[in-house]
Amino acid sequence: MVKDVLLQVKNLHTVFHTEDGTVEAIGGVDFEVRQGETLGIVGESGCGKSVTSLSIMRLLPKGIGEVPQGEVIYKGKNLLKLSEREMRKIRGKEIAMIFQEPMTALNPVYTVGEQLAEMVELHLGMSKKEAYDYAIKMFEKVGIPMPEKRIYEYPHELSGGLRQRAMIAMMMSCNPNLLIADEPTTALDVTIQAQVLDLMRELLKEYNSSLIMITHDLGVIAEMADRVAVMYAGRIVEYADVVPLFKKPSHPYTVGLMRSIPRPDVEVDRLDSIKGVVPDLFHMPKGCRFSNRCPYAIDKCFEEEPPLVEVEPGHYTRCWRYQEMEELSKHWESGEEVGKTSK
Amino acid sequence: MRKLEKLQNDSKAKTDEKVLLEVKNLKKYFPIKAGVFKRTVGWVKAVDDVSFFIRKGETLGLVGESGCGKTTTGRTILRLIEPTAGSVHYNGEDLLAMSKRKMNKYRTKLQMIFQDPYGSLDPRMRVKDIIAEGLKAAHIGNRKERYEMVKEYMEKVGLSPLYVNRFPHEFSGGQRQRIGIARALIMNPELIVCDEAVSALDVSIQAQILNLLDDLQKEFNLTYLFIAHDLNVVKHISDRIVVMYLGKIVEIASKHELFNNPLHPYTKALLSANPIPDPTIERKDRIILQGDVPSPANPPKGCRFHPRCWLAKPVCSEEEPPLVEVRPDHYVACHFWEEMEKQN
Amino acid sequence: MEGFVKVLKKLMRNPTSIAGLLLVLLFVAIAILAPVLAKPPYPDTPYQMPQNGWSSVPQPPSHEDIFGTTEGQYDIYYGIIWGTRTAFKLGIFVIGLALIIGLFVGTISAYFGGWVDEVLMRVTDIFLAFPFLVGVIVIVTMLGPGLNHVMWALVIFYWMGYARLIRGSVLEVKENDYVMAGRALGTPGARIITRHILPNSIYPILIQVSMDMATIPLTAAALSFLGLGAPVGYADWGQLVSFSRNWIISSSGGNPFAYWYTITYPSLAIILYAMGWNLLGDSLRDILDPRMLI
Repeated sequence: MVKDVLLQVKNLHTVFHTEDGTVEAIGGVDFEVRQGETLGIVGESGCGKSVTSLSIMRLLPKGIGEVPQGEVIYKGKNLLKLSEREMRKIRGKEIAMIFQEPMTALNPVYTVGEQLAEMVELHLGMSKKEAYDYAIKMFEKVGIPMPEKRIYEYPHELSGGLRQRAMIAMMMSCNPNLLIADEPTTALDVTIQAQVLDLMRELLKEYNSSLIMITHDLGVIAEMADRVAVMYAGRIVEYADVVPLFKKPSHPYTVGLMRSIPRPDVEVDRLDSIKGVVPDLFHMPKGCRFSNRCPYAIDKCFEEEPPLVEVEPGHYTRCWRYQEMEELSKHWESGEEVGKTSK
Repeated sequence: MRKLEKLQNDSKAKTDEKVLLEVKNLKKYFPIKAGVFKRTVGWVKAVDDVSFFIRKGETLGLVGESGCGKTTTGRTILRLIEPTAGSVHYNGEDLLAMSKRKMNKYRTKLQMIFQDPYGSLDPRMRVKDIIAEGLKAAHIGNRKERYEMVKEYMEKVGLSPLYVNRFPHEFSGGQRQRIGIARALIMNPELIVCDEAVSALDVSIQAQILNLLDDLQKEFNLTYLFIAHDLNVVKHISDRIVVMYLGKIVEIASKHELFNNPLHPYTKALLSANPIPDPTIERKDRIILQGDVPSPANPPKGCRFHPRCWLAKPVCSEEEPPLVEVRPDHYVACHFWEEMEKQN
Repeated sequence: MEGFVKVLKKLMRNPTSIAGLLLVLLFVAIAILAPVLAKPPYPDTPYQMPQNGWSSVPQPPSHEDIFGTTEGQYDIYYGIIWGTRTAFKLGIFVIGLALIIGLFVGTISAYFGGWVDEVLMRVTDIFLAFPFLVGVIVIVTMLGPGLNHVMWALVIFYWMGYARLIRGSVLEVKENDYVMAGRALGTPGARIITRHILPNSIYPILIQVSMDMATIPLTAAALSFLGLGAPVGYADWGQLVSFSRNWIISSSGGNPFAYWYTITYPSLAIILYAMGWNLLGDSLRDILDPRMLI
């Protein structure tokens, strides 16, 4: 069963104007999110995963971040072409966003109930009384105990887990079609993370909403996502359904990432690490951006950037040697660099 | 599979090693002050009667969620925070009863690696001064000798000695953590407390650092107290694991025993909440704990876990279960551990 | 050193900060070159302004006195040149001493905390309770007029700001793990303060110092204007302005601004000097505040 495409991102580029010049934070990102589906975007810090979400929401810092090229098609409309006024109607109501640290996303001088009520008053046109009743209902739904009391509390009075729940209640309150969650559980403890992920899954099912889940945690991705985009240095390097991605990763970076995490279910004597560090935006390697850390790189990789090609139906990868990957990935040279650190 | 056996043999071999550090009834209470006259109105029992030991050459993992007291435990052992009560015997001497002067002599043997690779290096000091700080404090070597040692240890942790004159901000997170490791290692310590030493790093870098710690342990016969919140990392690096909850130890066991046969409900919940990076694994038996961790300023009576525990019976809210050795080298603090064992 | 170069580079990018820097450098140059720019007639007492006669009516700029003379025939040009030195002397002495006291009190207070902090901060509060100018005037009146007394009086009522600023800054820096790391390595307390804490908490103080370099001479000028500052004839901008008090608007008919030079030149010196430091301080704040150096 093919579901309707809700959001389609095409050839998205984002640049940042900094004091030291203009840099490309993401270049040519393509993906789509279907109705009711969860897309996971995974990558390490600086890979552009958060920039992608901010570009979609058009929340890049003004005068610094800019999208010179690309399309974000949501329900047939290009969000990048909308006026700021039209965009405001979409934010919160149609597409909502959950941040890593709810403390910074919630306004500290208003009670959490007030903030939720304000949003539904604005987007759903409820009266104040209705909005507060609705806030209590939403708080109850996200499992906040004693919601009729909690809505009168300020963000700092809630624990980290409850704050994230309040944030989720707020974001789900207008029944958005698409939820973008940027590392929503990274700041939380594991047992609380399990609660929050569980809650998000239930709500998504109930509302038939889609989710873009941005995280660095492959475990969270494996649990939540239907499709996954792996990002590295401003590019999507692999894009596939979650099971084929984990079973048959076809980009060396994905392979390395999966080999370098300690896993609860597999025992290894030594982890396979990826040598070197993520290149900074000003000094991107020529050719494939992963070439300088890749154990399988050949001459071509250093000269020409590979395109994103379809390896199998629905499974895309950005590597010159994808055909040999299954064979190659049996061996991983960590190249532990003692005494010759790159900088 | 063979690997697994080998590992089990390894940890068995280590049980014969002598105890290097023994922590007994360690307590650290922080006063809560209020009012104009800063009267103490209560105590946060960050670490409340904690006892465990570390054998020479092993890695003891210390896990728990935020606020469980794991960091405070690590810092109190090294007397970076003065403890409220208890003892820490190192090679037969009580570190906590020593004068500060004497303790400073012992500091060379007990080192620490910090979590934040940005905050733990002084931004206005050069790498050579950062790494040599401990040597200087202990009056080891002259300037020239220290400089040579710094270069040698930079190489050991995988940093080019060409960078001795650089400042911390010129390095990436992983490289900074290597500097922090060199700073501890150069003192030729016996025990290193690693306080969330890899939590702030990206996964690919995290693996590099974990491997480095592993290599160094073998080369220098180091003992680690590895404090972390990430179960997978702790499992990878540790021989035995201590689980803390709200200032108390709830379980201690070898890592295989702990992962295969957790006898405390909290341990079991923690393990089950841990996401596995494999989308084909369906987790039907997942235990999702209700509610939040209570405040350590006002912990529940009896067993501290009872308000969130699915096995809790009336006795749990009245009587605090002691930490007892129920199987060889497996300690648990639960009234109903036998029931847990049956469930497993 | 590297941090310093970075600051300098950032300063060079902003026109207002360049202006501030140039003004300050100009005055530094004037102060250094004072003996060349205005040769003292009596080398033993260079700060004494030379008098070209005894007439009580100011004389307009001439070939001899290019900025004119004040009442009592003091050379305004000479007064401004050597007054620059006075301004620097005042600023450096007062701020230097206040800074030392402030550093001492603030650092001890923050590093040790507890009752030490409590006692030191209450003492600071007591000094802060006095209105600044009134306090200074009382002290100067008690000690008697004179530049040295003014400087001491200013120090007594000026260190509290630094103490509080440094205390706040140290409290913040103290929480960093590298301080904890220093202790874990067995570094003694005094060394932790000098090696880790002070170098990292000094930057916000630099901004304040730059601002105060402007404030202190202004205050001293005000006191001189009130007759509590330097002795008569001492090269000091405040005194020059005070001499022009009766001549701002001419009372004897004719052109009301006939004696414009008596007020214009000294005021200009004061304004430019204060502006230079303020611009510099402002841009330092912009550069240093977001912690861009770290």
